[in-house]
Amino acid sequence: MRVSSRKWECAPLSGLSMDWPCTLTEERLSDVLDRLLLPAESAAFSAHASECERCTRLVSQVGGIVSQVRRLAAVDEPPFLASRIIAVTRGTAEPTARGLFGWSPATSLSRLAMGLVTVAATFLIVFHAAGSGTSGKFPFNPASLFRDANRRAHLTYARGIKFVNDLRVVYEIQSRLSSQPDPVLEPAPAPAPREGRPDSEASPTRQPIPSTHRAFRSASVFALLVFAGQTRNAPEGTPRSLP
Amino acid sequence: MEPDAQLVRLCIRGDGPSWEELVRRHTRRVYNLCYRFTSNSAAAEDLTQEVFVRVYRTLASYASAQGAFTTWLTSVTRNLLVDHYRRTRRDRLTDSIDAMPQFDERPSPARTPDRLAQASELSSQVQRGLLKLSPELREAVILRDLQGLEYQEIRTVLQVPEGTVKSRINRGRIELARILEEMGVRPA
Repeated sequence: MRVSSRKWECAPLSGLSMDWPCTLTEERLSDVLDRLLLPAESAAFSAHASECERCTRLVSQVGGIVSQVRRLAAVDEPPFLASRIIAVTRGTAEPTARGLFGWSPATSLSRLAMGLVTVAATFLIVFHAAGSGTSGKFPFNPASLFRDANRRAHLTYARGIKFVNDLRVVYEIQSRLSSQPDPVLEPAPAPAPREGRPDSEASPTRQPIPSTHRAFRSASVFALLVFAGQTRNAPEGTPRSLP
Repeated sequence: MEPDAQLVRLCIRGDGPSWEELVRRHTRRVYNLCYRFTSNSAAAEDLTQEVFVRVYRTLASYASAQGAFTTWLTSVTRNLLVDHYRRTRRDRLTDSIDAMPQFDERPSPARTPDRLAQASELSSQVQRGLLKLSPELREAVILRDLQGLEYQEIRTVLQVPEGTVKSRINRGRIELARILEEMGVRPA
């Protein structure tokens, strides 16, 4: 943010030496404060300042601020900043607590303990995600782990067997249905054509069942079987059990 | 030959302790310059480290015949400050005007509590006033009145004519005095 500079208002120049106008005080203020004026310039400024109250106040005010700024103590740098810089630039860190005791068995043991805790936390998260902790028992009991794994294996095997059996039933029903004529979708055989009538006037011949109809029928049967299995195996309010 | 130039020569030869001595000797100066310009101790710390990393890499380019090591170091610092100012320009624009930074200065402990409090308050006010100056005027005032550089050295650091240096210092001082007057700071 740039602050707009405000010009210092000076008194009229009447009665003052023309060698040092008020505008020059502002322009050469730093030279005045830093005592960089030539002897002739210094004398002209002194003569002007003795008669111009505003210029005197300007020099006094800015000079006071500058002297205050110069007296400000240096801000202390953060501790170990130099050591950190040396470590960064040369790669040789100053001896610190970690550096001094990094070799000790206590530090190694603490690192080992931290590693073990991390591994245990990982196992805990994995078992919770797998659902082993839902029973409220200690999840790392070998008996419960074996029982749970055995149950899951049997459940998966039984579901696979059931799925194969369902597919087999569906295939059998579909085979039987395709071998018999459908009274709804297929019309009854027409009477034998009379003699002398051209073939073009005979009743239409039997048409094959469209594949979309067969697929629709198979899907309906499969859905009914699945629905029946679900209702049989899953009573209300009880967990699902093996068939 | 000045001690800094001798240390630099030893550093270029690969003398580690000389580099450590050089860093310890100038860390406070560089940190103060960065802090006075940014008004942020964390940024000043990072910038100080960045300055010395750059100095470490480019130390061979310093020629003692061109000027004092402190002037060269100040030039490096100033260039990084300018880069930092450009990098953070967008952040400053989005900052609230009312959100003035908190100054966490660590003054020297060898002072009485009253003087310590007064000096800390004045230092904070001056820091706020410096922050309201434009970067050009701010760096000129900091280099002259806080770092104590001569006009010639400031000209070398800023790479501008000496007349421009004087003009910036002059305007910066007047502007800072006006700002501090508005903040209620009276000259001693």
